[in-house]
Amino acid sequence: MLEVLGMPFMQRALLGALMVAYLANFFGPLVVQRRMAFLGSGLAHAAFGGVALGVLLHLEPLWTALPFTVLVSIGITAIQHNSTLQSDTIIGIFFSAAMALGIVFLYQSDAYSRDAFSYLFGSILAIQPADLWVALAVCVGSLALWPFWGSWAYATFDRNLAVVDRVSVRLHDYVLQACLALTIVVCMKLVGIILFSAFLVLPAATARVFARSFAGMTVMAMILGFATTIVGLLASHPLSLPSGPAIILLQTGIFFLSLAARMLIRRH
Amino acid sequence: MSAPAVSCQALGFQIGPHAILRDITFDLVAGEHLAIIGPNGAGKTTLIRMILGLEQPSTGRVEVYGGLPVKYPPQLLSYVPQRKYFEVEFPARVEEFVVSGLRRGWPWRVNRKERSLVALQLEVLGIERLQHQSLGSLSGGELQRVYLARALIRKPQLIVLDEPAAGMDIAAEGQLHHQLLAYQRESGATVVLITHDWEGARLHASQVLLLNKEIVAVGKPEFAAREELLLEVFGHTGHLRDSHKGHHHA
Repeated sequence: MLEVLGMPFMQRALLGALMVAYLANFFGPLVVQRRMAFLGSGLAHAAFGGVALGVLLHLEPLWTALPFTVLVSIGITAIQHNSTLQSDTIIGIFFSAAMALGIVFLYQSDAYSRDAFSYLFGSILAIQPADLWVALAVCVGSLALWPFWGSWAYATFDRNLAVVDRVSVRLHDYVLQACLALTIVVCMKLVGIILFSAFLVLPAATARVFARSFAGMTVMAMILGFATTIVGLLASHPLSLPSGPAIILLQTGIFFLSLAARMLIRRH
Repeated sequence: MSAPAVSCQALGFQIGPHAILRDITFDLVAGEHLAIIGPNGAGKTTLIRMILGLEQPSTGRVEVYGGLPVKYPPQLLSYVPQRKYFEVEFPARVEEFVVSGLRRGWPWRVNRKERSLVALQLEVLGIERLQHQSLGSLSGGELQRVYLARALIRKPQLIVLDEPAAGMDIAAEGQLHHQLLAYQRESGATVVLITHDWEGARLHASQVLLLNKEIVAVGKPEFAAREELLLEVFGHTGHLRDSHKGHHHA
């Protein structure tokens, strides 16, 4: 099984997926506890508008998708703060509008639209060295976010208590969601929307079944993300399965097993 | 003379055309224990949210120790909310939650010094056995006392509590009041507390504010919580325990 690691594309896939697992599971527990799982998927689809803008302007899609998606995340946060609409409704509106805008951009463009769609769906086995460098830069940059973790976790626990303690909850919401948008754009180029959404939600949801502390949940989610990446990727090759779906199915299987285990433990 | 702990001058709060609070004027001297009583919808929670700086008044002014509430050092202020907004499934131990009262942030890990401070505070409240328990597994009464522990551990000058005894039985409620009074005696802190229990307010508070969108009465409990006023505001003077059983409550 390990001989596949001799292949450069597999090495890149493993490195890329491990970095995505780290980034997704830094945000995953916050996203799951804030019931923002739909935001990850919504922003990833909204990024399509930015990718299509890059295709239209003949620019590298990453550099148009990044500001576009960050702006969408700021728009979502601003409306969340200033209206009584539910978050899923706001995300749904931005997600549809950004996707529609993307289609309009592609329609106007003379370029072949497959580039945009391949960007959107990514492929873990097609990761290029340049993608790895960008992901590494984001991983290193994300280290600067750790000092915010205490405030983000506090506001996730109870916004009112955090506000009384003068935590700038609104500002932190903007920073958190903009950083999530930035991460999504970089990660979806590497592994695609579906795999990134899985990385964002499944390990954190599984960790929540057993974790007794929020820090424990974050660490457990990261370990699960790393372990399922390695096992899923290595096992997919001899089993002739597509790698991304193999990782997702493994994560899903572990999630349901964990739920079943907890139910059994509670009964006895 | 030092500034009052809380000062409200012609304070009003409005949502659209609806006046939630009108012309609230009172000063609360530092070290007093103020019980705010009034029927549902009287604006009690809105009033304390303005004192905490969570809401901006539509008219008038509120000051905490002589300044705007948002300028008051948060480490000297504690709040025990009525509704516990956290999700039961949030993975948190009692110890971490109480430490969040010290740090004003969520702890990644609790250090040795914090652990012993938490142990001491929980012991004072007689709930040391809960230190390592999951927050979601606590009963309503245990949770209220853990919130009180979190409020007291930072040694606040001003404690604001929104119906802290909700969900507690009578014995636990009495114990909570005694613990609060003990802290107040020892620290000289000011307490602002919303309660439905006017009998408890008469017993424990040094000041009562009877509220029904505007001030009905404010002063010593024997004045502000006297029977004819309670009858006017609540429509009855039945014992709270009865009202909780649903016999007389408005």
